[in-house]
Amino acid sequence: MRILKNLSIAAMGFMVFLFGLDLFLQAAEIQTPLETTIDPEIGPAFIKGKNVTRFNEGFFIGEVNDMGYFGEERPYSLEPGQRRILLLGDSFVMGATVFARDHFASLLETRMAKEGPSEVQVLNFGRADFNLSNMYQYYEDFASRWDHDLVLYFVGYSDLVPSRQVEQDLYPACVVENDSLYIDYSFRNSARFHQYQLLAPIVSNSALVRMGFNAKKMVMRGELTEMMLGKFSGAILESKSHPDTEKSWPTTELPLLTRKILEKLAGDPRVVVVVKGELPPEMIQEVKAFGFPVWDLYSVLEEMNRQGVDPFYWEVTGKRGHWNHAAHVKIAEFLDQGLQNLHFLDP
Amino acid sequence: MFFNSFVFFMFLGLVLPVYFLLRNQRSKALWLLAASYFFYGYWDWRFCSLLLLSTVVDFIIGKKVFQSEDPVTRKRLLWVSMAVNLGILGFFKYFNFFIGSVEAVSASLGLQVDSLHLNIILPVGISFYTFQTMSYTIDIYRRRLEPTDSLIDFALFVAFFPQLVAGPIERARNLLPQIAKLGNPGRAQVGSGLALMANGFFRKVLIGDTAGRIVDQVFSDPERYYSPELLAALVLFSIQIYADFSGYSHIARGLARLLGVDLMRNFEQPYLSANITEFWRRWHISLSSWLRDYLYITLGGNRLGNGRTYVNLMLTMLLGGLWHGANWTFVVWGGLHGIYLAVHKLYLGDRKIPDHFTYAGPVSLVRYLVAMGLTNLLVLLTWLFFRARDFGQAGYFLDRFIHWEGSDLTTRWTSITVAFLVVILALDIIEYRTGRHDYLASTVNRPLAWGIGMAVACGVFLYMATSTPLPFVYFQF
Repeated sequence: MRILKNLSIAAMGFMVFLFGLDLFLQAAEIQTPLETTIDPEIGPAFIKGKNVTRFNEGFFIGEVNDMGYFGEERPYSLEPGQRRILLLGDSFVMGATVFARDHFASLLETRMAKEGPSEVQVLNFGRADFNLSNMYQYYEDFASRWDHDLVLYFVGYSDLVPSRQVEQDLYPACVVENDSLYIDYSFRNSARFHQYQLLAPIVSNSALVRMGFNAKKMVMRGELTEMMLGKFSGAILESKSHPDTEKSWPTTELPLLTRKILEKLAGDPRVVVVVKGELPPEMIQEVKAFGFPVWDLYSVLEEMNRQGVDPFYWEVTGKRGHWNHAAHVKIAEFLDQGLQNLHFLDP
Repeated sequence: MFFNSFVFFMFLGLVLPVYFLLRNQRSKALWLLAASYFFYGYWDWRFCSLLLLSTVVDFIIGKKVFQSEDPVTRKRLLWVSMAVNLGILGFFKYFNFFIGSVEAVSASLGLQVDSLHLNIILPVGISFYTFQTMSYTIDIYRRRLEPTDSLIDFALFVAFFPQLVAGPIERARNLLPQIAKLGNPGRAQVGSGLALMANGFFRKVLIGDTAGRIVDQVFSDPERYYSPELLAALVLFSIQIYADFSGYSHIARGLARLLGVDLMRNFEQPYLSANITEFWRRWHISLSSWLRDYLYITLGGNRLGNGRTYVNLMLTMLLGGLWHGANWTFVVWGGLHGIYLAVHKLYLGDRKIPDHFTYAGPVSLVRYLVAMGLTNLLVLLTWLFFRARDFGQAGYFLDRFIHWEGSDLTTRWTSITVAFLVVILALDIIEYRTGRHDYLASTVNRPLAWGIGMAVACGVFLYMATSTPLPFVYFQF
């Protein structure tokens, strides 16, 4: 009985302290809770008004606006004299490594404000872990609600040839059936989604739970040995690793789903594809054959690297990862040039 | 090897059980010595040679100084010890700094000097263990200490891993007798050690490191940030350095207790001080008392008249500043503190000040809070020079504070800073009220203390698992 009583007191102390710790982690923004949720209408969604702070290779303090995306809140419709560009892409485009004011979307707006008579708005719909099919679905169900003149899809190899499938019982998924493309929303009725909805209030309001998810991700990435053994992990990891100096592509052909999505996009004159990562030449030709403008951002970043500025290197953390500040400046300059070539600002 | 790394816990998981199993003092001391050299050599095994050199020199000289009755010989031997220790410190820490300063002065006089900069790696903790070994020889010279006959004990005194790289800078008369009687800790010591470690890890990992991530970003590229963000980063640095260093000291003391050894207190809630003199009685106590005993008093202290007292005070603080790092910004940091202390001493005259605030009605509380706020403002200014890369950067911060420009994220930065402030102050107030750093061990309800301790461990491990550990700020010194 006494043991039971002591255990209960210890458990209570444990829980109460963790609760207080969670509050501190959130207030000091050491770890903000998950800012994402699964919305029955649009699938993967940001939680409106959520504060977000990230310490990855870079540093980010920002918030999801009340419309559900990062950046300045803009109404759906456009006023006369306004132009609007939508950005779709993965975590690189989402850019939660730099403050919104240093993001290329904001830098591009500033550049264009100096150039043309129209006010140009650049809305960032980038999302971590998105590939082309996610982007397409997100555009169809969410981003297209905003009037726009141009949509830039930022793609690399893993966006066009995704290594994993969308979990259809949890998210909407693009499907090709009988040679036609459609979005499957069967997740709305799945048991897993209902389970998620039950747990969502805890998951999206706890900093510690998010830290737990991050730790799990780390373990899944196989970083546990290095973390535990420090310097001594070198020998173990070295013996396991295989030198991979030659660039090899699992395939140089576009998968059926990707082709179908590109076919669909080709029908929209507002679409521009921005190649942000290295692609096999055959694949670039295949993408270009769809007829929309294809802008080669990858070459520009490569050139930057050749000139001694690594667009992926973060000095403070000493890590390589997403685009750094210098890269964002370069990308804004590159996009500005592309828009000028398209005569985007011409009346 | 950082305390805030998993590899350190693996190390501890091996060191402690073996230590507990060993029967006699000699084998325990040998085991700890081997563990300490491994701990230090983990950074770079070559550093161990300096540790060994410093140990052997002071062990031999200490004995000879004690045995000699001739004042001239004694003094010469002391100078040899000083020359070796300060020579090592000077070469590894200050060579490039002095060469750079000479080059800068020569260039300003229009003289062309070939660059003599050497590619020197600064061994971690060198300032700490050289000061510790020096104090041993000086104490013997002053006939306040008898040398030890055991080289193993003395080597362990120099290399004792809990406090080797960032203090507390222990005195031989406190640590050596404990090493000579090494044994297993009692139950109370283990409880106290674990409670100190819980407090220390919470401070270091969940406050120091987390505030440090923001500070590092802002100070690496301040031009990217607005005035309130720069101010928040400066306040966060003042929190980081305190949480980081006091956390380290608590962990060091906790670890030592697990080995049955009591180390001195290094911090006593310095940000609760009502004036600068009190601040220095509570901040980095082992260094400030070292500087007082071996530098200020050696210079004559306050025995040579008022004017000389102020000169001695300034010299001590300037050299104390330089001890922290080979950069003129540290000298300015020390100089500012020297000025503050001198002005306060002048203001006080012969009056004595209390060490703690005593409540005597609401007016006394308000006066105390105002005095504490002002003291912290003065200290905050000095932290700018301590953290800034150079005077240009410090000037940039000051310029942005004068030409204030708001940011759309002001509220966020403010709330982040306030959250850190509230938690560090809460921890300090608990320490102040209980008079203990291991207050968790003093909790009457043991199961509750265990529950809280486990929760701290969970939070700390979870953070450590998901973030890159930041080194202790004072490691570079």
